[in-house]
Amino acid sequence: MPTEFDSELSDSLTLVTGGMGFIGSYLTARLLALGGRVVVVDCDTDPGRQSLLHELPQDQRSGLEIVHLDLRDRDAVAALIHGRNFDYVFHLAGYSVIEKSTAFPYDSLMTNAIGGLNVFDAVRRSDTPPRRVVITSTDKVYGEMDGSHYLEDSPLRGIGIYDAGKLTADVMARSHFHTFGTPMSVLRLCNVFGPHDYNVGYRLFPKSLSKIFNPVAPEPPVLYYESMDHWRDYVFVEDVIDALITMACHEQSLGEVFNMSSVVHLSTPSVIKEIIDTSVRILSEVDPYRAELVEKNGMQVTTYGQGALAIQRQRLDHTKIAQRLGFRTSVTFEQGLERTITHHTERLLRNGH
Amino acid sequence: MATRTCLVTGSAGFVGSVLARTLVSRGWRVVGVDREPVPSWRECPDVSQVQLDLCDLEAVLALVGETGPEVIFHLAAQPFVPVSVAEPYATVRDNVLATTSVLEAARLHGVARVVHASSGAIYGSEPGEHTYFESDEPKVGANLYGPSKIAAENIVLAYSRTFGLDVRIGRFMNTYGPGDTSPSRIVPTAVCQALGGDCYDFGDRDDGSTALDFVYVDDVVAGYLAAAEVDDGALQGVYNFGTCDPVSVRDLVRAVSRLADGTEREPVFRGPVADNPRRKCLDAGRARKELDWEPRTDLMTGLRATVDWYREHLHA
Ligand SMILES: NC(=O)c1ccc[n+]([C@@H]2O[C@H](COP(=O)([O-])OP(=O)(O)OC[C@H]3O[C@@H](n4cnc5c(N)ncnc54)[C@H](O)[C@@H]3O)[C@@H](O)[C@H]2O)c1
Ligand SMILES: NC(=O)c1ccc[n+]([C@@H]2O[C@H](COP(=O)([O-])OP(=O)(O)OC[C@H]3O[C@@H](n4cnc5c(N)ncnc54)[C@H](O)[C@@H]3O)[C@@H](O)[C@H]2O)c1
Repeated sequence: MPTEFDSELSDSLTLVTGGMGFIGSYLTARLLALGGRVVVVDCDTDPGRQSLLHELPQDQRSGLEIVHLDLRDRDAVAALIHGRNFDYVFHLAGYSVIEKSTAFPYDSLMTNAIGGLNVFDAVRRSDTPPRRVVITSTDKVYGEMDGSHYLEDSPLRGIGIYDAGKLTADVMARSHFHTFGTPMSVLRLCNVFGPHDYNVGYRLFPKSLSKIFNPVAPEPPVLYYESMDHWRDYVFVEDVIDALITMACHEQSLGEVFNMSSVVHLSTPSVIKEIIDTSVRILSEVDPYRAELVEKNGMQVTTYGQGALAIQRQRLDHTKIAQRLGFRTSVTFEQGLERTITHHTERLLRNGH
Repeated sequence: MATRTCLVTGSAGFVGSVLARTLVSRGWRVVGVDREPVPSWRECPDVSQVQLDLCDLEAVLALVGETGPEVIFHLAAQPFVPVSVAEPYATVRDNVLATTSVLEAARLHGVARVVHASSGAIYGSEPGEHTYFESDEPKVGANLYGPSKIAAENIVLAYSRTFGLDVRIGRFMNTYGPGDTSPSRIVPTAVCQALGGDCYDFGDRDDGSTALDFVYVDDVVAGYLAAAEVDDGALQGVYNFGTCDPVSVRDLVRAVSRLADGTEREPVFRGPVADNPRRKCLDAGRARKELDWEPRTDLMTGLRATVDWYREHLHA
């Protein structure tokens, strides 16, 4: 959906860290479509890597530059930021999966905490700072909920390694604003879903879909006993892009932190069920045989065992982003699900099986 | 009983050096580590001192592997609020990254407990009267010191919850005592001026009305020792250490003046006048109950010892 700020970005130069990733690639595609120039930095720019950016038609790539860079390298980050006059910076790069952060705690903290600091520090020292730096934080920084929702000023009691790295960046971003006036804005995301999320190893949506759309034969998506009672907020990726753009351009978001709006609050079993049901419905039109198998498979319930810690219930209050920035989501959960699964269906048909 | 080994980081610093010396006197084998050499007035011959930068993970892994400490007391930090504004990057590096190296080494080498030095600064510096409890939420203020300590605490707790590392966090208020030579802290500044200066001027940081919770260094050290020893079966413990009896900086420096030479100097405070002066202290009820900790040194006794120490060392 267009935002009221799109025109401000049409002639801008923007840095997107982690631009090869799921959310970063959507943001980059949108900025390019608006006529902006975008520098993507990422530590994994392998052309063989799956990314929406690799699927952009050639005529939409003219404003795009991809720079291979590891954000843990302070000097390289500073050289990049001081060498260009970026209008906007979106900081999205990092370890984005809890299980990977648990497996590599030091590296994850170096990336999520110090990598973020490297960006904020370079911006603070810049002679020509960008108009705004927007960072993607997470609802995980809050930890276990006291009441029915998290508010932006709820205590931060993140529990795991991923949470601690994100919390550090979140706190550092805000203290840079309060101390130096560095133009920061923080968006705390809930769970984001959509096509082109290639984190198939761990994340609920891409992982479940990779089973259902396994080109050889459908397999049942996995539900862990441990997540039986997990409740999460969900939002479609394009709404996140709208929110990021709104945050970057809105005066009222300077130095502020916002919870992302969500479109649904569901338990993990219900999400998997929704994914299965929608897949069956869409597949039955084009591949009834697979649809039948998917329906018959249902989901597989098993124990995860080696527990990465998880918060039971997460729910964001989104009054602030709605009232202060006038932000509204525009894709319902059902529409988002339909689009995501249609995408997977088309890809399956295109690739033949 | 076998000798117990511990590592004290920040052992060339004010509190770390006193802690290391006390541990030695209690029969511990103490390995001190600091990036800086130990200044002569803080030396203790029985502490084996290693000089390295704790941000160097490989060096920290090797040190912890070779020395095999049972407990790590992690005090190394950049502890000054004004420095955190002048040198934000170095502050976060020393307070967050160095802490992460220590935790990673403790995890990989199976260290039994990490005692982490945190600060009452995490509660922020809002005007008005505040007594903080451990359950009060941290506040991000206009400096990088408090926020870096908030982040470090969260990383310490994350290591504990994720990997079962036993951790204890002490949140300390303004520590003073013999051996603190930092020119950016109020007690050393006052003592030096009272003993040797021509003026009694405290610059523009405060109007004299701010009241803080001053804790004597021996009491702080007792807090670290108690946190290292407590055996409650829990994996984490967070404790406030403070007197809960805030003293305005104006009253504090007047007391120093009297103790120095009996003179009533009128201190000059040129900071902006506060409409709603800050009075901040920590409730140490949990430390009293669970660690049997008490601030045992009253302010006058502690200040007298500090002045005496300076008198001896300033002219030596
Ligand atoms: N997707 C979600 O549901 C969700 C929810 C909450 C928060 N977030 C946050 O949003 C951001 C983007 O998430 P995503 O889903 O697009 O994740 P992603 O993993 O798809 O993308 C992250 C990108 O960062 C890159 N990266 C990692 N380490 C780097 C480094 N050291 N230097 C440079 N690049 C590096 C990766 O290669 C990847 O391309 C992350 O910060 C994540 O924590 C995402
Ligand atoms: N003194 C106080 O009033 C007070 C109050 C609350 C909390 N604390 C905390 O107590 C601890 C000790 O404080 P202090 O007053 O003794 O400070 P200090 O500055 O006297 O000592 C800190 C020491 O840490 C060392 N250090 C810093 N970064 C290092 C690194 N990367 N590698 C190796 N060594 C490094 C410094 O060289 C210094 O010797 C700190 O964590 C501080 O934040 C102090």
